[in-house]
Amino acid sequence: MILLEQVLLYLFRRLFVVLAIALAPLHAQGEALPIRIGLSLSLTGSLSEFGRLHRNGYQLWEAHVNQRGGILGRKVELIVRDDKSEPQTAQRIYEELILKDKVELLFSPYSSPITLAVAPVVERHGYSIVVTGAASEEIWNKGYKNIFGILPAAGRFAVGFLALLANASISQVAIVTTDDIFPASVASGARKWAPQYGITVAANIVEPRHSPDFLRAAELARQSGAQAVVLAGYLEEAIQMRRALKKIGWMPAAYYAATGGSVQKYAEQLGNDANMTCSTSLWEANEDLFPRSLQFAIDYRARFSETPTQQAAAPYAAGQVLEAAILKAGTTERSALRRALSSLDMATVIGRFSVGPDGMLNKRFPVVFQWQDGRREIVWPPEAKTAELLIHR
Amino acid sequence: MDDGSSAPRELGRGQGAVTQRRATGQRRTSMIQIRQRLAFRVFFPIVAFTLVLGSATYLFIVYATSSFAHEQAENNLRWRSYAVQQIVDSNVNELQRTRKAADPASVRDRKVNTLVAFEDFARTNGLRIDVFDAATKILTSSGDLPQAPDYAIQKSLDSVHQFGVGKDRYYMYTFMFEPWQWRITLVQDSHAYDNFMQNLAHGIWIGAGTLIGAAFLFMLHLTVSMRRPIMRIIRDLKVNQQPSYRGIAEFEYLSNSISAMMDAVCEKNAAVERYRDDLEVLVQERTTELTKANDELKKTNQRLEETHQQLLQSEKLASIGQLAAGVAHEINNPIGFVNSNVGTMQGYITDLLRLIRAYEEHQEILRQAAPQLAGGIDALRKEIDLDFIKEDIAGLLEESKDGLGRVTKIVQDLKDFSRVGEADWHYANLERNIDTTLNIIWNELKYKVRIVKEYGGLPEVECLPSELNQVFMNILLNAGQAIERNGTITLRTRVQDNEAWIDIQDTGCGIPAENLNRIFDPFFTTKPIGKGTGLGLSLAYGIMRKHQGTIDVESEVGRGTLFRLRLPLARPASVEAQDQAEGVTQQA
Repeated sequence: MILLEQVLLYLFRRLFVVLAIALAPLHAQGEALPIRIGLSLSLTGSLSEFGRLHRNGYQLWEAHVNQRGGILGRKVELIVRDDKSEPQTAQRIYEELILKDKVELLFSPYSSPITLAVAPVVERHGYSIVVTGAASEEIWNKGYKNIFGILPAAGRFAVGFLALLANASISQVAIVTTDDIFPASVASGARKWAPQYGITVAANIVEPRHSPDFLRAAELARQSGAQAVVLAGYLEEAIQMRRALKKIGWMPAAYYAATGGSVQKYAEQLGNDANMTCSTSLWEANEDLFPRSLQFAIDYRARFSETPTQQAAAPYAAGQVLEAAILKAGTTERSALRRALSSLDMATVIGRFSVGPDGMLNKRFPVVFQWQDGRREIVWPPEAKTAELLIHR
Repeated sequence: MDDGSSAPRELGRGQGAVTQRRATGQRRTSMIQIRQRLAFRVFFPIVAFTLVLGSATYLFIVYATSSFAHEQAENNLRWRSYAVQQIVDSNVNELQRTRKAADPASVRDRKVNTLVAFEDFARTNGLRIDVFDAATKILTSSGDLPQAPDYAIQKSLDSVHQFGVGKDRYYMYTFMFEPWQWRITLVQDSHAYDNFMQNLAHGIWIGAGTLIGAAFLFMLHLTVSMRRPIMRIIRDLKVNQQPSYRGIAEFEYLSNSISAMMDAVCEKNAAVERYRDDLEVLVQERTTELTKANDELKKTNQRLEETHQQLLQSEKLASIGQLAAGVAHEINNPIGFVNSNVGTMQGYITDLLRLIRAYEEHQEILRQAAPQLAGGIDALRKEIDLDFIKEDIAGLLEESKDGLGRVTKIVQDLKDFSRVGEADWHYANLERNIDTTLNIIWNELKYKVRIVKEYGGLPEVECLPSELNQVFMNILLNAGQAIERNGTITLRTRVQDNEAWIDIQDTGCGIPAENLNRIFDPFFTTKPIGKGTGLGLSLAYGIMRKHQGTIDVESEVGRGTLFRLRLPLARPASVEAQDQAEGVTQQA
């Protein structure tokens, strides 16, 4: 049966390729139809800041690729819908994009929960997506074959910070998280790797996703004897935890907030209180770490008048990956595209893209930066650091 | 307490058992019928062979691929272990290369880097990698596979070992990384092998399905190609036609052979048929002849018996006749002279009476003359009652003459009736013969039978009178015996159709219808034992047939019986010729 399916599939693909080649001149003669790429983004709701950055990144890529004449002679047209930071809404949008709008390709939404919600829809219809806003390993533990990561695993986010703590002889850490899949992955990774650095997890505090009590969490962390705090959460959680620490009058030797601490808005909203906060960055405008990242930053600033972050660089990189995959496959046909994505090994603005058999990104470590005087200073890895880690004494 | 329901239940079970046995028997019969079918005989060996061969092939493939997959899995795991060793080696080498092997922080970072690399390696290769320190404390575990049991770790040291969790099987390999005193255990599942086996199984099933399908089609083709000519031959044979199959050489040869065999059988059957028909005809003829001979023999025997009886009867009658004739002859002479004497004596008495009358005319003279003498004569006259004598003597003489006449008649009748040895045909007055016979047997009839004679005046008939007298006597005696009392026997004679018809009708008890056809059979009698011989009517029938006459009977129970005798008036020529022939034979 499987053999029969494979044979039929092979024949179907061959037929598709032949038809595509045969019909290509027809398109070339007239105005080629654009490649319509659908996606949902959290343009409103709790993740709207990340959604906005994502939209900017995608739009910048769209502009760049269309300036180059499109892909395979076809312009790119993005169809972006607002999922209101809700997984179910995103799921419905992707169903509509596929069945109703009949988009040719898809981009991913932002955040691990929303990506996890739309993954089965994408998988069922045979579309492939390059995941730009999710790093939770849980997405790749489902056995999907069409979900390709472009970010390092969330479980590795805190590794660099733990190394910094060890170097600073900090041996007690409190981990605070919400019961959401991405923060849980970050916290899980922190718990896993802390012992390797001789660090004890003094407290593991999990707050409810929709009504977290960070004052309580801060108090528990202080009472645990922890010298440092790892906060696993988005922007709002990172800000609230920092404010809670300030409110209880306890500033740990080091405070880490992934991934909420990585966006500019964190610093903007907290002002000086953002200083000394460490976070993980998957991209920095650093040519040593991320080749051609400066050009991207320049282009981004030129277009959107702000400094890009990883949340903007990731979708741009996803566009680069998709473009390379289409060119490699020579088609937008979904199966061919999936095979191209599986075997692709290329450099993007956020680093090297190469996935394992499960579609998860390999061969890349996130960097750790610290807000110092309102600036993002890379403090880990040592070979890329722009400043020494500041410890609160 | 018996509620009476057990018996029906037992019966029901019994019936059920019988039904089941019957059904089992039917199934067995149908199975036997199926086994005897050509299709089964063709299909079964091929199917069985295919199944056995397929099973053996399947087992062989499974065994071979299982061994191969197992070996591949082991090699795969060894290579992956080697890759893991390379990862950790490269990190140690990096420390040495950067001269930081003695820097605890660098070593720590390298170890973490190594463990992270292990995690990536485990994830991308679907492994579980457990790293233990020198104190066998687990440092990290990567991958989703189950942890290997402790007892298996020593067994898997530098060698591949298998262990199971539930239905799943896993391979494990352990090696020591001495620089860091790490014991690294890799666990690999058998999913790749399982998928391979699953795909192989699918392939086998598809192949087996294709093979079975092809085999089925082949068998179908074979069966059809074999069955069709056979069915054509059978179809011809069923309608008793010679098979005329043309096509496959072997079946054509078979068809021709059967056809030739049928020809031979038909010829032999025809020969047998002919022989049988001839035999049947022969047997029929012989049977007919035997039957005929038997009938003849029976008839002959019957005639012999009849003749014997007739002879006996004739002998008896002849004896009686001779006796009667002798008696009649002896009586006839005395009767003759007695009759003569009585006639003479009547003359004498007449003379004497005339003399007495003369004396009496002169009685007065005597009385006067010799009163005493006259007185004495008167006294004597009175004493002897001479007047009465004179009156009576005439009567006595007449009566005596009458008696003598009757005796003479009887004697004559006896002589006429017996006529012993009278075998010659001559004309006779049958009415007188009837009367004679009646006289003979009158003593048997006179007290209960009234004879009514309605003679039509038969002419003399050429016959054997004594034998016909026997006929009359037998019929009359039977008629008399049929009448209990106050009956009538009517005797009618007439001539009709040149025959003498003699009806003897009685008003007796009649003969039941069921006996009418048997009354002429010899020895048939309804009389008590000792009263009748059963030969009377049989004898009469024989006599009538001897005269070419017939004897018919009409009878009604309770009303009487009519015997109608019909005799040719003259002796038929055939009888005459027969008698002459018999005479010649006797003379010879």
